[in-house]
Amino acid sequence: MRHHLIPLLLLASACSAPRDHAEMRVDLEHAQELVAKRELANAAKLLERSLGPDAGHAADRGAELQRFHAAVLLVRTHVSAAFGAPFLPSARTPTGAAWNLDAKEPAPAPSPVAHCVAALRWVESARRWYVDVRAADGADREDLLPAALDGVAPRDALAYVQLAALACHARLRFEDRVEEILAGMDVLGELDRCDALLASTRVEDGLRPWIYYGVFEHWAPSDEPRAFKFAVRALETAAQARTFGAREQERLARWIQHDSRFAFRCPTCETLADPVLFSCSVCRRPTLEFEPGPRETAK
Amino acid sequence: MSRTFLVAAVGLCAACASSSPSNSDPTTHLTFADTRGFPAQKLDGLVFGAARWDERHDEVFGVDLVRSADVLPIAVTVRLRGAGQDEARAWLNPERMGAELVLADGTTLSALPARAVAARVAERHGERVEKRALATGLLSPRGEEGWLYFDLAGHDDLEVEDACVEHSVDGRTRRLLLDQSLVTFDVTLDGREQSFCVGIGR
Repeated sequence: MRHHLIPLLLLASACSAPRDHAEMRVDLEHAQELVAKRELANAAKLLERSLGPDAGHAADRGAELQRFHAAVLLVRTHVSAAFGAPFLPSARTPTGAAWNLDAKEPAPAPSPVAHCVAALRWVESARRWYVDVRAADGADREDLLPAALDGVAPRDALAYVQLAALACHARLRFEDRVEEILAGMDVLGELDRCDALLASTRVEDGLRPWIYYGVFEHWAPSDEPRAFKFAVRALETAAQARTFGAREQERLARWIQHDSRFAFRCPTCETLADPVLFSCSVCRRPTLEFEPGPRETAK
Repeated sequence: MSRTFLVAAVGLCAACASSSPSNSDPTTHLTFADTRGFPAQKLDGLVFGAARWDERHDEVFGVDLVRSADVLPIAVTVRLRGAGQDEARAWLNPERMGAELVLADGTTLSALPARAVAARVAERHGERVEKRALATGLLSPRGEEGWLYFDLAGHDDLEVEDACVEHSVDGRTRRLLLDQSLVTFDVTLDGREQSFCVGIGR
């Protein structure tokens, strides 16, 4: 989609009500393209307009399916912004001083927190609307959804939504909410299954350290060897994505080096785990394969 | 062109590859939590915070601050709680803590100093506004509730109705519940600034 067509699309979206399946399908396709090109503000605007004021009352099963996928795309849009390229402005100045009434108004800084809140609003919509689309799972969806979406089972899309919610709540430090989400996702308890779910649901790189961190916090009080694996994976993915919090990064490093009851050592050469290295500094064995031992022997 | 290839080409979209259910399908046995809104109180490390909207705040201030001062008042409690609370030194300064109210659609409102809000209402009401504002000082385990005032001026597109903010965007109205919104601010704990956020109760 070329840039100059976007305003026309938005205008068309605003003027046509009720929308038919074909129009909505086109909007979903264009919104996806915008997300892929990181034109996130335009994607959010297009999707919200497409849903329209009466989004709570979809006309039929097909419209329900389209509405659900639009909500999922809005979640994806806002988390991509929150953990990558925020566009919603903060009310703070870039220096954090929101109170200097005499100063000239500086340009507002973008707010990742605002995007987390907005994403969670659409998470709720996707969950609510998902109930309505189960029956459409097996329907012929080619006329309803663009090619990139028509292979997506709504349940997989909802799993993505749940993972996005987990990342947002971990980012906002609502640990109770993280626990509630994890309670329904046993699959996240094993690192390899967690990796598989994140891969199959195409979770963005920026969310991954937050998801692993949330699972780490869940296991740390009760199963430290298991928590260690999630801590290492969180640090690995944080190094790639650069969207992780400094406080959380420090927490993980301190836990590995001091707070855990165990010392984690390379099974080959007994080198201690180093939170900034993801393989043994001596023999290059992956840190994920390190084994727990008594802390005392490490001193 | 196969469907799989199309998906790869577009390079997008949730879970496109795993559409065929199987025993190894990681989503087969998921249940989905309903985590609507945000908790209206939270313990984050040693810092405990709570926030609430009081629809009868006019009885507190003697004036409806939403109608008279274009301000959304939120009552906030911040205190220390937990092991180490007596040794920790945490500092709160409402004029320096960058407080914001984040509405459910991501719209942010900045907090105003109490003196600026007081200037928008009659003097006798202004005194109450300043007196009941969240206080500056060291946090203790017995922090008292104080008010933060979020600025609605300049937001002609926002309309407050009880615990709901209506946001007009492109000719449409979003109904945003305050219990799906957040208050965020910074606390200085043992010399380090850390952000804190909490939901809004009633």
